Amino acid sequence: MRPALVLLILIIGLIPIWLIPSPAWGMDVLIGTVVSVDPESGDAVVRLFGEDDEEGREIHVAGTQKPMPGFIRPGTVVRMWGNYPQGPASSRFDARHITRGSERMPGRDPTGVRGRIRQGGRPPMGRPPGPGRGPMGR
Amino acid sequence: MILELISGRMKLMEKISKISKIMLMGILLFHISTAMALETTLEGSLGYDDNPAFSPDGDGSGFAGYRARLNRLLFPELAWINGDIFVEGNYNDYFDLDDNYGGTLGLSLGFPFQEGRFQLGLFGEGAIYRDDLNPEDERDTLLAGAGLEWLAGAQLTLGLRGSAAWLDYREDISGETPDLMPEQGQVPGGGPHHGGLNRGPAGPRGPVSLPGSVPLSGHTTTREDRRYSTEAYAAIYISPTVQVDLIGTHVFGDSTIDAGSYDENRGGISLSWSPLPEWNLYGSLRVWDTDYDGGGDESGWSGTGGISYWWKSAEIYLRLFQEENDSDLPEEDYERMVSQCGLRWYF
Repeated sequence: MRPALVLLILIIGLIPIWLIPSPAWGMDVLIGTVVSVDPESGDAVVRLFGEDDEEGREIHVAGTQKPMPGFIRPGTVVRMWGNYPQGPASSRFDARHITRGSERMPGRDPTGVRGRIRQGGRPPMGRPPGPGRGPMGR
Repeated sequence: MILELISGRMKLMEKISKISKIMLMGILLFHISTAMALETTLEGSLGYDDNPAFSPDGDGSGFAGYRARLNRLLFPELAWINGDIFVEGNYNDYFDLDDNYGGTLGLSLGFPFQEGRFQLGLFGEGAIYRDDLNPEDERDTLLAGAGLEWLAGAQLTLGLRGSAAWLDYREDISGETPDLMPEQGQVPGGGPHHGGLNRGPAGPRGPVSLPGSVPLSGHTTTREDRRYSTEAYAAIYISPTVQVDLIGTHVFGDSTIDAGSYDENRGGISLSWSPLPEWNLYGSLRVWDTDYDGGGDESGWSGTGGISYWWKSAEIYLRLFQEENDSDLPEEDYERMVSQCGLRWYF
């Protein structure tokens, strides 16, 4: 009974997320690999994953965040929320939020520290917890 | 009266001495971390745990928790491999009960391929755990595992991971019940088992006394457990500020004592929302179902809710945690609630 109640609270918790107006709604979200970074402007060229029409396509990403996050370097996979200012057919993408593609696998950010510093949040779920009994939960 | 006063003063002095040592260690870590350019987390918290012993009618206690973690990135300039090595220590200081502490040394490596769309991960850890309240839980652990992650789309990541852990318990245990005869002619005994490396909301317990059991005297044995975990997870990025995680885990535990061998299934969901860059709200629910070879199935759930506020590289948090375990054996039933606030500092 109580687990169902907690689940219900979690679902109800999603409601205000949708009710509160967010600039994120209506943004395009893309994922791809950074091909190159312009050292002066900080803008990046990203090769997209995704649907057939996007697969392998390269776009020029300008971040609204200056300087761009430090993890943006060739070879890094990034998720981007933003808009095509000249329409989806153009190759320019204005990214309002950029995060690393993955935070959860070993070698990326096992402590969650880098992810939390950059974008808030809590340790990735499923990470092996620390040893032993303790107030931090099990 | 005088004895009580002296005893109280001695306890106070012990606490002051302990806190002083922990603070000195924190300062030392700060200097080491700065000198070696490590990623460091220092954490201190205060709270109340109403059942730290996980017992049916356990006493509660306030506590202070301390944690430190040093992390070093490996191969930051190489695209085909990435990695981390870390060392972590934690100390839980209960005001009215005995303390526990632990340490972990770990290494993890990641090998991205298909332009980073997939990543193979390998990880290994060694850990110690010491517990003054439940000495029978003290153990040394080695863990190794591997995982594969797939960035399936712009808003979805899927992953699989498996691990094997070897847990060597320090205390020899004496026999208590003929019902829980160990494998290979050994005799079980001891007390409840709580927590562990790579353990989620539920896990193996130690040997237990069944009602009406006849004590066996003069028999002792060592306890060694092996724990094999397989896990599948999905992360759904609903928006830049909202993430939902789903996870399912199967754990097989094997022990030199029958009562510690089990099959367990776990499931979980968590929600994280950062309405503003400085604020994060999160909640999670986990459920588990455990089938012990020695008899006495268990099921349970835990729920966590929390809020964090970020100020530069520091995080202030408030957290509530509730857990319930229902067992066929009354000794293994427990409820537990923890309220906690703390400060984490990353540098």
